[in-house]
Amino acid sequence: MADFQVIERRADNTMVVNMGPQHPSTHGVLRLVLELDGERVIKCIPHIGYLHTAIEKLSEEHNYTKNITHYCRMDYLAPMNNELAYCLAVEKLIGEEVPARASYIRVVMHELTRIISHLVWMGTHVMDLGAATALVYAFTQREKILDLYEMIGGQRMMTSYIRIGGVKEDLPEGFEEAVAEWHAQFPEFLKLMDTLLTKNPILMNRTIGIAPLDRATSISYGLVGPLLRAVGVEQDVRKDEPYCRYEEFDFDVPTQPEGDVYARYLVRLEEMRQSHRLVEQGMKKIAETKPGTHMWETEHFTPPKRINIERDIENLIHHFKYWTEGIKPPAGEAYAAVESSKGELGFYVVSDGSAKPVRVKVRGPSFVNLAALPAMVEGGLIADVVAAIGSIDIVLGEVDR
Amino acid sequence: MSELTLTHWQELVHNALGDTALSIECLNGAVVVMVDPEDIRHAALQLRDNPNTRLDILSHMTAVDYSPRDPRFEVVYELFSLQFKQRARVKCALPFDGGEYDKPQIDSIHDIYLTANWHERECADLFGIAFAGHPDPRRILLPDDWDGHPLRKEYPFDGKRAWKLGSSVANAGTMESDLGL
Amino acid sequence: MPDPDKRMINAPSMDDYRPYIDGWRPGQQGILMGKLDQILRLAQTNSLWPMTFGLACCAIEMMSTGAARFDMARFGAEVFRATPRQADVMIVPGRLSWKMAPVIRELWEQMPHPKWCISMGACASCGGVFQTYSIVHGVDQIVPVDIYIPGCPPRPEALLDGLIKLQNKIRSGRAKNPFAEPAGRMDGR
Repeated sequence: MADFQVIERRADNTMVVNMGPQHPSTHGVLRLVLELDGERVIKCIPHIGYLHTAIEKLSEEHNYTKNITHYCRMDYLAPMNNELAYCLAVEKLIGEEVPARASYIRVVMHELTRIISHLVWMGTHVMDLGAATALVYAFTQREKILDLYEMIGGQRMMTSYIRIGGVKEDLPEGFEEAVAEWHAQFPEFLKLMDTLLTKNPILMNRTIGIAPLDRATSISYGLVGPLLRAVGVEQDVRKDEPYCRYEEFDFDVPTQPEGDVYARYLVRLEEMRQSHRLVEQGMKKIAETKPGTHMWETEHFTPPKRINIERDIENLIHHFKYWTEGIKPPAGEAYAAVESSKGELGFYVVSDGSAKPVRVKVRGPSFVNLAALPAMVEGGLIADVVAAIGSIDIVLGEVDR
Repeated sequence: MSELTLTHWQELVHNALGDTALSIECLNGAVVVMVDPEDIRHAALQLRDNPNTRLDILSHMTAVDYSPRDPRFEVVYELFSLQFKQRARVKCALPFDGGEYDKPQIDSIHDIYLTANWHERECADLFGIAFAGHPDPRRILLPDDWDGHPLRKEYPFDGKRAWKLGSSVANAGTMESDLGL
Repeated sequence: MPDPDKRMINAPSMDDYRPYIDGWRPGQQGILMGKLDQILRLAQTNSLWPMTFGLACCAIEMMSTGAARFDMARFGAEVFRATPRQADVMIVPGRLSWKMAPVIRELWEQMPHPKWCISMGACASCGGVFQTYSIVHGVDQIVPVDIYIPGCPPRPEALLDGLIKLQNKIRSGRAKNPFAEPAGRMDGR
């Protein structure tokens, strides 16, 4: 295999070092080949593909509903984000509107997903910089949200809860109280992490001025999301191209002008606060909608209710065809993007009118963001490579798909 | 939210491209432009630098295999404008009748949008499309010595597998041989 | 296709290792060595240090298991060693791709004996949801596996259950011979 290269020392005393696929700080199976002059990085070449799962090829084999299970496992830190983006793309193809209750439930789960993703980011990033306890604190808080996931979707991570046309089931009993309980104690946790980390001299020394990117390079590299907000551009898919009725919600988009690792840290911390606000607004809006309208009522694209299946042969046939053959969106193509915790997560779905898609292309933000890593670290110290990788917040499932 | 309506935006994009646009339409809420593969660099520069469109972010770039239709491949570029908060999709139809190891050609736009570098490597890896002028045409997602281009329609999704017990020449590399059928 | 009989020219054969192999079964040794062996196995059982080797989603559940709520440390897995040279058990969480397969084999070879392997999750055990061209359908084609944990991803309690089963297996002396070859097909691709 061509990828095996360990250490090479050259005549001018520069070295080529392999930061291999198995490394505690690469957050997954990422391989970096670094050309070093002492401790300074001259060149950085990322090698990816160690987690290539051929999800896009597999999507052409399975029908539209089965594909939802594949995408949870792509960005596995924020599973419901992937499902949401895909379902929005297919709903664009079909052209019908999702009911209000489903949209608001999706918003609440979307924001909770953003928070769990940012918690893992914070725990692992700060642990790489030296503060090992932050991981445990972040994961403890994450467990509280995973309990909510389990209540609503049945599984701690890969729930496949968001379906084409709405969500799978209505909110379970006790969900509102559980969310309110979580909501009440979360600001205290954020305040704790803020106190421990934001003005921490070690964190500041290790992150201020490190791995900077300027505005023009960021835009040319196609970075959207926290990385672009950290260079001062006020961009957010939820504000620019609202989905799931986000125009009815009230939230701010945090930006920082500096563009270094510390700026990205501040942006994500503030994003968690905004998500917390959005969850409260979402739950209020859900309470105003009619229970039971969690899935759209169309002629061909809705799974029939069980009571109707027992009454009517048409519904039985439709139920059978829905779950075996699958839905058949009209021929065409659609692209839908959501503001995932890592950037703009988009799905480009091409349909030819049959039950299986012709092509599903996943625009994974981590794939795009990682291409900017060499621009960030070349010229810096090798220890800053670790800080830079953590600040991009990559998840290899999305990079390699 | 964007202040421009979709029809106005479609007009602006059409004016920016002029004759380069073979056709322009609105599909499922998006403006889609068909462009000749030879004009892709010119089109990308026009769309990026024209002050009325300012499509400065290449959101993603991919290819679609439409076999058995001719032209077989279509290379799709999804562009986004930070200023106008609107999108445009540029598509090039690439006819191709070569074999498994032949590659259709199109120009690379890696210097217009820096992000196209990795996206083009991915297309070259999974579809076998050659991008003229690309500085680093290595495989990106698959091992360097991989055989074939998996996202082409004739490539089986469970791979061209080696022999296994109970398989025969006829059903080598298929799911039937796995299940022992 | 690799010929099983001509794998490594200078490799020792199974006969050279007979004394060690047979000695692993309880009741085959004398009283003194048997007791020492039992104490050794008890020590190994209660301090299995895993290697930080996270592939995909199951790695996040593995991290959750190491975190405060489920706490793997109370079962002896005190620290996750990043270097394979200091690790006892390799937990393979997540889908293994063919590009990554030589890397995991090299990591397994770098781990010193005695070592064990837990295959965590459906993807590592059999390919899971992803029956595609780029995924190894079961890491036991590459490394010898002692415990398979089903789930997608398995709950932290399931991982702890797997760890406890491995501990029981080691303590009883039934753990697989460390010189064993992979269990699955060696057909490569």
